[in-house]
Amino acid sequence: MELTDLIVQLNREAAKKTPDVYKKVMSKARSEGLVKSKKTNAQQNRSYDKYDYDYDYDYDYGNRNYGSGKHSSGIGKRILSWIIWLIFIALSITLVTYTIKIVVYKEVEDPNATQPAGLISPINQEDTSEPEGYVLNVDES
Amino acid sequence: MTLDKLMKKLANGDESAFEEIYDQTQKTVYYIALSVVKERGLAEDVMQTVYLNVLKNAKQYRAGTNAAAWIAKITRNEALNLMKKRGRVFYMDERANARVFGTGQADDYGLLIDLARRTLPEDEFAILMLVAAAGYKRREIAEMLEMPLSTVTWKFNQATEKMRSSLKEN
Repeated sequence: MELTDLIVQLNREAAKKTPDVYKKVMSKARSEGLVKSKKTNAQQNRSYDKYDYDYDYDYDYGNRNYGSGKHSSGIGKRILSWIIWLIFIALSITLVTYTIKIVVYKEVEDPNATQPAGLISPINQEDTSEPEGYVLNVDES
Repeated sequence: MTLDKLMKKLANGDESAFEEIYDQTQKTVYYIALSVVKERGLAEDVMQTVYLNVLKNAKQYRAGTNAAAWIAKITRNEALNLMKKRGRVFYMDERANARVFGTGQADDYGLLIDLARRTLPEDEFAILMLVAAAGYKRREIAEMLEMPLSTVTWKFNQATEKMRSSLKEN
């Protein structure tokens, strides 16, 4: 067996057979008061994510160098999920802003739009009354 | 994020850094422990003790030093302590006590890892597995295990030669 094959085979076996004692450590740490925080969602879903990631890593090991094994932390997945969330939030904000703009401008531009009672400003009303002391220039001839 | 920065975060009370530390060092800790204790069940016990010690003593870690070497040293000490205690108390055969140690079959380790575990001495097994499983370079292993680089390279070559000849025999 070639050296590279031996290393690759050992790596594959290690990816599948390395025990995961994280949950046991955390429960002991909580019982000893070393960790204060409660379980996060990420920690609760940890075993599933870990299996997923190890499988992916194992599968494409042949295209990587040996130095990549120690970075098997799933950080790429987290960054990707953050980016997706950011895009989703940005799109939501844009959509809401755009909708508000359309509604507001439509109301302003619509000449037939009726203003609700109590909101009619005296400034906007057309003043047709004559000022006091004003004399009409009437032709009396 | 580097292990050193994660250790700093943990020392400052950021518990979320621990998961990342665990992920980055899980294989290192397991295979160093296994190189000493030679049994999966005991190696898992060592892993638990090591990570509890990391949580307890994170503030004692000096930032800027080699965090992987610090954790590796804790692992080796814990594994040796366990073996001392075990030697004093009793000896239990792994294969005869499957209920305690798991099935005790090669399948618990993987065929090649089991072969390496049975045929290689402690240092050679640790070095081979740190290269193959944890992805460390020989220079990094030399720093971690506090050995000269030439020794690490020699032991790695010895380990691969022994594995090849064992595979031929089998």
